[in-house]
Amino acid sequence: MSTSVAEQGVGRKDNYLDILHRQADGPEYKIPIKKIDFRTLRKPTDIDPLPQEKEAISPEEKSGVIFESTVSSQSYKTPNKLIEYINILIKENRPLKGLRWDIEEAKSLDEIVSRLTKTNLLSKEECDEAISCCQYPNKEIKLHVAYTDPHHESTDLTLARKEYVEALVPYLKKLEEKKISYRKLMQGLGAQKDMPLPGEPKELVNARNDYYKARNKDKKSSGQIEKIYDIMEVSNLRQEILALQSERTQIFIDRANKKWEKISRIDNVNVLTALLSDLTFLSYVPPKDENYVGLRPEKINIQEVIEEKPVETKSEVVEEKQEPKADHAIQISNLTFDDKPLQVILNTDAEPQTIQVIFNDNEIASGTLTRKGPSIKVHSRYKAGFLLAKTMEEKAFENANSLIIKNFKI
Amino acid sequence: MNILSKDIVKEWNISSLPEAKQQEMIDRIGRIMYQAILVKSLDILSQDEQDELDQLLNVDSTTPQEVLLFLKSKIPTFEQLVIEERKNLKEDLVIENI
Repeated sequence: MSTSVAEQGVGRKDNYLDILHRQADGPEYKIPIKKIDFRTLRKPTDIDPLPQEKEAISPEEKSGVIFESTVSSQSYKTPNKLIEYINILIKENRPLKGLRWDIEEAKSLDEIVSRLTKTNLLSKEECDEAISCCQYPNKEIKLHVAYTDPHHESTDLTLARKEYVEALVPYLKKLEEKKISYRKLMQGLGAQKDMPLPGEPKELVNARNDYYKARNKDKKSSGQIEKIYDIMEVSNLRQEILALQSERTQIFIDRANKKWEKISRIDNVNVLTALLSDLTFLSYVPPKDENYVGLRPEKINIQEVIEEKPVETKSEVVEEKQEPKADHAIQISNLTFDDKPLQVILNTDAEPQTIQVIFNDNEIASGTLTRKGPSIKVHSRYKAGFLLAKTMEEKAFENANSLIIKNFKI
Repeated sequence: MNILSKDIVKEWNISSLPEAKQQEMIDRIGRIMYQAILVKSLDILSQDEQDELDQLLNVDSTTPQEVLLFLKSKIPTFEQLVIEERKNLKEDLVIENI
């Protein structure tokens, strides 16, 4: 280290770890370290005065030692209130973990404001609220419903939707009952036949047309992206339909919903893919299986992913596997390392095919899969520094990589 | 990080949206589908099967995938039901200008 660099570090008012910060300038130097908080220690001399402004110190900081996964390359501390607000939104299933990471990494308030205003993951009201969390750390957080309902829908739409749902739900219930009894009757006669669909009652058709008209009118005045508007509106429509179900059904749905909310986005990719497309991907084998090795090289039909395979249907499954499958897929392998989820995601859509290694909901490594084999690197921010012990992420990657080498081939 | 398949994005016609929005919208559509399938399935399940589902939902570690697996194991026409619901949802999403 040159003298001039050391000299530059001495006498800086805001930080005593300037030399460490300089080492951490590039992302490759970010290393896990036990960081001593000098603010809580007595001043060694008067030559190097402590900063006057005192921030609130958390209990763990009071102990004098705090643990950080990386050495922060800035002295700016993201307001706790803002993090608290973003955490609340994340708990509501909002995909804001990346944004939280971004703002935690921000070096100034301006940078935070810029990131908040540029993101399209927050509504205007939420963005304003987030900014005010930075400006007024003692304020009470105000939650907005504006994100799901960013404009005030017209009364016409509310009424038309209600009338449509009230006509639709009894009709569908009666239809379902008729279908079931028809199917049973046909089965009794030894036939497998579904009931031909009867024509819809005039009331239902009129109610639907009125609803569509009101929806189109409201869409035009909403100023939203058309696709987003439609998805949000259908979400509203389906909620009203759910509200008319029996109490028992609603209890089931509420409990099943809680299962949905608990699962991470990456784990849910399996379900989403199964429900929303006809793609193929790797079979999920629970870790309790003795033969579980993390990855299964064979592809199976998407419907089989949501299927327990009874022994007697095994031959059918084999037959289906032999059918030519589309070669595009997201293949996910679920592992654990140190009791935390470790996932390997192979995207054969991409050219070349890409591999992502996710540890504890963070992407720790990525790379490609070519004919020569996989080429994956741990992201520099997760690497330990020279002579330091390997980070947890590096160890997790080693675990995943051995399975990738063993199982992923073109 | 976009972990959604291009085919889902294409199938649901949301490729024009920013990546983060795509994920959010797919989450939302998936949830609507999940709920719709549950409602339909509950009409089909017998009382005993509903009690079994009740027990499954009581287990803290049960995942949506396991819920769907259960329904699949009990309803022979489950695949058809999923396809039908997907079709219904698409029809709800795309309405003609009236």
